[in-house]
Amino acid sequence: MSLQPANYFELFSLPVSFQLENTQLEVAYKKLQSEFHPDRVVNADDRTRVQALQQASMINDAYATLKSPLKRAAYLLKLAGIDAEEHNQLHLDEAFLIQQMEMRETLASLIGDEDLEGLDAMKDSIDKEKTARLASFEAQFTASHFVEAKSIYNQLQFIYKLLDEIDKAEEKLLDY
Amino acid sequence: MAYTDKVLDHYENPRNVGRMDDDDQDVGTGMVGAPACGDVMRLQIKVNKEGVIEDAKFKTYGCGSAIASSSLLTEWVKGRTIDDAAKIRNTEIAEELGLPPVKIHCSVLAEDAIKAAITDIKKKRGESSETAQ
Repeated sequence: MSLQPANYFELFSLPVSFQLENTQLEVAYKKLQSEFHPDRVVNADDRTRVQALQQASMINDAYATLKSPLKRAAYLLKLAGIDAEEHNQLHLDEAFLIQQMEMRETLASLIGDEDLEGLDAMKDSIDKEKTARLASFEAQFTASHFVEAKSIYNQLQFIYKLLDEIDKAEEKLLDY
Repeated sequence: MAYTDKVLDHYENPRNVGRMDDDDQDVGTGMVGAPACGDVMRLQIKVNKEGVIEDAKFKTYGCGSAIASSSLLTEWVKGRTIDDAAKIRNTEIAEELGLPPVKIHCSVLAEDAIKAAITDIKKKRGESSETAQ
């Protein structure tokens, strides 16, 4: 058995779109995972077993890529022929960078004050920004405004990183 | 991945961390970021009337290599003219710190930051920003 999908969406029989039905992805993933599990060919020849491992690994990569909104956004840009990781400072909005710097400073002082409530509040507000930007990514991408979509994707990368830093800070404080 | 001693030194004892008044007409601010790692860097220079960088400050939220690159850069630019400082290449920073290939982009970020700061001060002074290329 061999899998050669045109893209990860096709692999799971999903439409190529940022909008994604999570349960549909889960169901399709579980099905493929069991269908192509390397254990099924444990007694086959080397070539078949290597192929099975490669397919299982592709299925896992595809799942991880589509499940994360950020990775899904980058993947969609790639399908549209845009290198999402290539960037130029001129494309980054300075006001956005200043705001990111300020938020990092706020985060540092919340950590210094061991202010868990403050961290929670900050996380809520950044989460809202994330949701809003994911929605505008979808709108721009769907309208084939790839330059704008990419710019929102780049901003989302900073926002995800910031959320990650907040999580790490909270975990560290709660460990005390 | 192991950091070199020079990176560790700058990471543990960063030079010139701080902030200058952006409204000061002698201060140029460069604000840059690297989306892939979410790093943000602010580099500021105080430039006298002769175009010499009298002081430099930075603040970087990012990995050790990004902090070390910007810290080293602030040391290097002090006392230089802005035209001279604009010639600093990321490869020199990477070489001095012994950055591995996967961390070269951190030194690129520092080079972008000093260029942006120089462009900013030139703009404030009504000069062309051609130098920052």
